[in-house]
Amino acid sequence: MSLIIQELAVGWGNRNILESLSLSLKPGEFTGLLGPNGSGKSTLLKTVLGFLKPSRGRILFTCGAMGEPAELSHKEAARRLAFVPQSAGNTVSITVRDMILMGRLPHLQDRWSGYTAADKERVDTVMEKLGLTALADRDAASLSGGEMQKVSIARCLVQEGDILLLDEATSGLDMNHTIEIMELLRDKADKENAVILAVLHDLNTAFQYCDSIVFLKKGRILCRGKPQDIVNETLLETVYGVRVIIENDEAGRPIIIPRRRDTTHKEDSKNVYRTVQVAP
Amino acid sequence: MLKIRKAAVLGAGITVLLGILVLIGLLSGTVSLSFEEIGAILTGVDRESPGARIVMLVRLPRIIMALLIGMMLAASGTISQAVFRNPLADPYIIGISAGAAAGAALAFILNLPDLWYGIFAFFISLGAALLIFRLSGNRGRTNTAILLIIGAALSAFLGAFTAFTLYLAGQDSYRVMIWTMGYLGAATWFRVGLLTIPLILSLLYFFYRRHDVDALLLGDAEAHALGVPVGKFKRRLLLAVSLIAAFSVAFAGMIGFVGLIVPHGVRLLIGNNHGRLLPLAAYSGGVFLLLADTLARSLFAPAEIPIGVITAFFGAPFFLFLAVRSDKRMFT
Repeated sequence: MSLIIQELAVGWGNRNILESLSLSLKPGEFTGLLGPNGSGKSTLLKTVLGFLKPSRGRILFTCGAMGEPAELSHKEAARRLAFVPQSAGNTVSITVRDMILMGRLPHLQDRWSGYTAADKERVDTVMEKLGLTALADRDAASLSGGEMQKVSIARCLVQEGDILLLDEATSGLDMNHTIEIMELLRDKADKENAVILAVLHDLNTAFQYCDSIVFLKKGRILCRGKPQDIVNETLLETVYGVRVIIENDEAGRPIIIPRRRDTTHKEDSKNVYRTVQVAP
Repeated sequence: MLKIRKAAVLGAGITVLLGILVLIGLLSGTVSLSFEEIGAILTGVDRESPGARIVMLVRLPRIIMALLIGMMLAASGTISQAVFRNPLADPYIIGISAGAAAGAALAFILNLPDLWYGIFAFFISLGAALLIFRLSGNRGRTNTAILLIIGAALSAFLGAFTAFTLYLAGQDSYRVMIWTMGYLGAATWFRVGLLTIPLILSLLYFFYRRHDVDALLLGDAEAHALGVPVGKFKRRLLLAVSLIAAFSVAFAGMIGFVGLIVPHGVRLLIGNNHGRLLPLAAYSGGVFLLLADTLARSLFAPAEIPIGVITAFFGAPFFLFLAVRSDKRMFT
C-alpha cells in the first residue's frame, strides 16, 4: 500500500501548522521525518492517521501497483495504519499482555466474545520477538520508559498495518534498544513491504536506517531525498540553526558531529550566534 | 494470570460478604424474625403472616434496591473515569448527579409519577454531562483541577435549584431533605423494576464496548488509531452514565463517593482491563452499598442514618487522598 499526501494544510485558528505539504511514500520505504521542535512533524502524523482534520488537501492510499488512490474509512484505516505515540510516561495500570492485545481491536470480529485465541497467539509471537515475554504479566505502570516504548511498538506490530507511523518511537531508549527497534522497523520495510514514516530526533540513527529523509520546517517540506544525497552542513544549519561536522561511513551515509557554539570557535562565536538568529 | 486469580478471590470474598449482609438485612429490624420464619417466607410456605409482608414488601426490595443502586453508582464511576481519564471523575463529584437531583426535584414540584423522576433526572444530568465534556476540553486526559472546578460550579448551580425546591416543598421539605442525603427506605418492587431496565441496558452496552473503553485509557490519538471514534463514543458512554446516575439519584437520592471508592479499590487489585473491572466493580459496588445501608440501619437502631452520610463519612477522606496524588499518577 502506498501513501499519497496532496497539498495538505492543517491549522489551529488562524495559525497554520502545515502548509501545502505534498509527499508520496511507496511500499517498503522507510522515511525519516526530521525537523526542529514545532515544525509540524507530529501534526503531520496525526493528520495522516485521520485524528486531525486537514483544512485543505487530501490523504490517499493506493492498494497494489494498479490501484486507484482513494481515501480510507476510519475502520479500514485502523486495520491498515498503526501508530506509535510519543512516549507518554504511561501510568495506566494494565498488564503488558492486555496492553499489546489492544492492537487487535481493529480486527475484532465479535465484540461479545472478545479477542480470539489467534489474536492472543499473535501477541505471544510479537512479545517473544521483542523480548517482552518475561514482562507479559507485569503491570504496565511499573515499566521503565524504554520498556514502555517497546510495548507500544509491540502493539503497533500486532495491529499488522502495512503503514507504520511512529512519533519519536526511540526517544528515551538507550543505544542498544534504539538499534533493536530500528532493525525491526527496517526488517518490516524490507521483508513485509511496509511503509514507515517515523519522526526521529537523532539524526545519525535516521541517516543509518532510513531510505529517505524529509526535513520539515515551519510546516513546509524543506527538502527530501536519500541522506547521502541531501545532507550537508548548510542544510542542517538552515534546519536546526546549528553548525556541524559531517563525515561519512563506509556506505557513504552521513555521520553528524555537532559543534559547540562557544569554545570550538571562540573567534567567531558571535558570528555563529548571528547565523542562528537569521537562519530562515 | 495473577490479576485473574485476584479477580476470582475478590469475587468470592464479595459473594461471602453478600450472603452475610442479605441474612442480616432479612433478619434485623424492629420486628425480629427467626431463620426458620425467613426460610418459610422465602420458600413461599408462609405468605400471609405480618412477618411475610415485612420481608417481601419492605426488607427484600430494600436489599435488592441497595444492590442495584450500588451497581449503578460504581459502574457510572468506572466509565466516567475512563472517559475523562481521571480517577476523580465520579458523577457525584463532577456534577452529573447534581443535574439528576435537579431533574428529580422538578418532577417532585410538578407532582409527577415515579417514572418521570427518572426521566427528568436523565435529561438534566445528560445536559450536565455533555456540558462538562465540552468545558473540560474533551481531549485527552482531563486536568484534575479543571474537572473539580467545573464539578463545584455545576453542583452549586444545580444545587441551588434543588434547594429552591426544598423551599417550595414547604411542609414536605423534610422528605426532600432526607432524599437529598440518600435514602433507601422507599424501596418498592415497582421501583426495583424501574431501576433494573436502565442498569441492565447500560451494563450490557459497557460490557459490549469493553475493549474500546480499554483503548480510551491509552489516549485519544491512540484510541483513534485503533479504530475507536473517540468523540462519538465518549458521548455515547456519557449518555449511558447519565442514564444510570439519573435513575439512581431519582430513586435513592444523592449517595456520594461510591463511584469513587469502589472502582478505585477494584482497580488497585485487578488493574484496568474493563472486561474484568466493570463487572467486578459493579458487583462490589452493589455489595458495598448494601453494607453501607446495613450500617445506616443498625448503627443507631431503631433510628436510621441517611445512607449518604455513611458513604460520605468514608468517601470524603478517600477523595481528598486521591485528589492530592491524582496529578502524579493515574489509574494505578
